[in-house]
Amino acid sequence: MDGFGSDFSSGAGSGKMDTGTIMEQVKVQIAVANAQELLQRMTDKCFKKCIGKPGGTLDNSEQKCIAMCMDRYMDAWNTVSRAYNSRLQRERARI
Amino acid sequence: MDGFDLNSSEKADASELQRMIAIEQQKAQFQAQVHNFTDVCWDKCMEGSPSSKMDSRTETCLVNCVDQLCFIL
Repeated sequence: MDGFGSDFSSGAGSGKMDTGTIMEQVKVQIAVANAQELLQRMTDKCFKKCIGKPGGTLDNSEQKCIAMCMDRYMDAWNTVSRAYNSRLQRERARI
Repeated sequence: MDGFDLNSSEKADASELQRMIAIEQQKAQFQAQVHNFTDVCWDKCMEGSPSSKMDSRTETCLVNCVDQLCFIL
């Protein structure tokens, strides 16, 4: 555990830490985790909606259903995101 | 244990970093909540087979669903 500062690349910052690079990495990791969560939940919902009795492959109607389902899920996610954001703004304005 | 003591500019960097990370954490918490709400409200509002477009009735249902969840929480 020698040299905590050496874990970070020395950059343009005044200290040993390159806060820009670190923040980029933090944001990327969070974005990846978010995308994984979205994909996992979307797969769950769309499997339930579109796959009846699982066969050997996905037939045409199932594939079409899944494609539409994924689009609708992302629409729903965006709607919920906007609605939740508005609600939070309204609550903050009251304080 | 030489590397653990931060000088003053490193301390400034560290607290700025803490501040920026706290902001990203808040954003991540918001997104996690959106995932939860979408999960619940999808079941409540999306009936039957998926359609080729999101209609306004479903959209309204989702918005109401979020409001209700916020009221409950």
